[in-house]
Amino acid sequence: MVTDTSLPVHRAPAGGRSDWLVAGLVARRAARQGALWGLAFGAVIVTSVSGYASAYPTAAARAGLETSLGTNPGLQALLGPARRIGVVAGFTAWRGLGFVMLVGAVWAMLAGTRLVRGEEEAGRWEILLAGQTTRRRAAAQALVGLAAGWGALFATTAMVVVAEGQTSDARFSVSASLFFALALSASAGLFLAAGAFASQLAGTRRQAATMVAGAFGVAFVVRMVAASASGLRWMRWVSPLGWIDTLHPLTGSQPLALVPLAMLIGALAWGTVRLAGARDLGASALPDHERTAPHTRLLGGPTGLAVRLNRPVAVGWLVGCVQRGSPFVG
Amino acid sequence: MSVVLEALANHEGRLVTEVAVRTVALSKSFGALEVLRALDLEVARGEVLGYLGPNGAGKTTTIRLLLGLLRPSAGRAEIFGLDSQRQAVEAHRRLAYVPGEASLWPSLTGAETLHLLGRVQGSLDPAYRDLLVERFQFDPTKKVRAYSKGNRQKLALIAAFMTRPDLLLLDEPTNGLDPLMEQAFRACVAEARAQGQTVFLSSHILSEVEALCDRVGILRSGELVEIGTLSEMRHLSALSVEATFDATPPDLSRVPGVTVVEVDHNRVRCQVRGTVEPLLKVLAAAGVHELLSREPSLEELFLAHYGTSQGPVPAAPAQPGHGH
Repeated sequence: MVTDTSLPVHRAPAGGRSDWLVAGLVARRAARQGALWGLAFGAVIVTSVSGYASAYPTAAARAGLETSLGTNPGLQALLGPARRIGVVAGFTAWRGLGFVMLVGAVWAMLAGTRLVRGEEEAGRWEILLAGQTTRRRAAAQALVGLAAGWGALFATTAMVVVAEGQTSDARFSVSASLFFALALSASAGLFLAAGAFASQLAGTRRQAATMVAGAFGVAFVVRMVAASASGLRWMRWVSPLGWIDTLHPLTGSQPLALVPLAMLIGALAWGTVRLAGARDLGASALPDHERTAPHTRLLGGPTGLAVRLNRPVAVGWLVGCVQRGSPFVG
Repeated sequence: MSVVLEALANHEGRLVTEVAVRTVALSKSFGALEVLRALDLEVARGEVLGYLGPNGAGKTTTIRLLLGLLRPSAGRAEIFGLDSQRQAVEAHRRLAYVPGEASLWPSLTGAETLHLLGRVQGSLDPAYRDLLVERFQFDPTKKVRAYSKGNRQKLALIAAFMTRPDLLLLDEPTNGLDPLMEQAFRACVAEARAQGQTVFLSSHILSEVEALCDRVGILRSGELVEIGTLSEMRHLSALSVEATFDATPPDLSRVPGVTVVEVDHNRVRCQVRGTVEPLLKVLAAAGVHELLSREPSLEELFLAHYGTSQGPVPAAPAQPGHGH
């Protein structure tokens, strides 16, 4: 039935490296995903640089771009304020950051909630917590694992961006490229922490992800409003996504905007560990909706059932589409 | 129950205590719902305790409190004298846990899972692990997602026993095992007991508890309603007597100590508490042809606790009574 080679021959010492098990398990999955997304983010930057060079080869074309796209309020609301898009660095930073920031946030909120609350909900944390760790330590380790995932995202993004920055089309300095990669992966870092924090507040992965998505939606709307009129520019400081815009990578880096970001991530991490230590396994800080009064109106047949089961997702998509599409209306 | 409580130093100089598990007024509420009420329990080192109760009685909650996964609403729990909350890491070093439904990592193989769970525990005995793999006829080369429920449970059991912990916390561990594997599990528990390991076995399978356990605790709606050895508990229940007569049976309902009389033609069944002498006299005088008596099975003890008042009636599997 079993061969001698099918099982590892080892005897781990008592109290050995088991302390880092949770971090390792989370990092294993987060880093793999992070590295893949880093490559995708890098690809966005590569296409931006090469696309810009071929689509706007002349100084006149680039000046035209600055007055057309650069003043389009709908695009500014979506991608953030455009700065110096008449040069490849400005255009790449604007298009790349505007797009990657959103994708990174969505990946991070899903990964953060799945790897923390999702694992707990599946019952796998129970076995880990019966080992040589505590709820609080395990939460801290999960954060370390997520940080490793973010590290992989940043490293692969940085690798591609630095390499692309050396091409004749781009000519970005290495330090500017690294700072750009940091800005590109900033939203992922923030929303990984937000996912871990919401995993302490919510009783299910789905509820936690919905909560972070709601926070993201609010941050996005505030950033949109800030970009809609010059009198409201101050509002970008209210939204963490606005802080990332303010980093101004490749167009006059502003590392100071990293300070509120780092502080917010630190606060979320601190809250995650505190809440994890103060609650029961499987419990949530906020009330769950596992027990509600029966609503049977739509349960009369398969069509009603389909509507009932898909309603929350459909409403979510509707709200998201309206939010994304609204800058182009009127 | 009297247990030596003082701490002793063994030959390695490590402090040991003779009590493996102790709970003091341990209580747990989830909101307004009180799941465990003032549980006082001691399990001696080397003992196998059966922890019986229907679904929802609080068995899993007790084990999770012992593991420190839940915070008690009141009271405390100790593992080998170590507080379950404050000294969880030290306590966990000495125990292994098998949940009722093992949720494992679908993408890992059986061998990888055993490696991982060995690290969770901190140490393992590779020779014993290989023996367990053979005994449970377990194929460790498959991925967890390809295992049946029974195979996943085997994996969790092998992982727990292979570490040879001082204490095994088993929460309905034979869920999904076939009778052959149930026998393998019983062999493991017997070996653990022979090695001086302590076993805390939560179950609702009465025959399993009856076959394995030194003592049995019965939990009902969050309260420990009974605890003792099987022979101690049998005194709580009546002796079942079945008598067959050549002619019409006599009226036994007035005999002292006799209850629940059922008459079926020339056969009569009854239960008797205390001395059987008055009953025997009546039976002998009436010309009894055949007489059968037996001690109550654990199932009958269990039903005596659950079957007669408002609490939830357990979905206990039908077990044949043990004739004596």
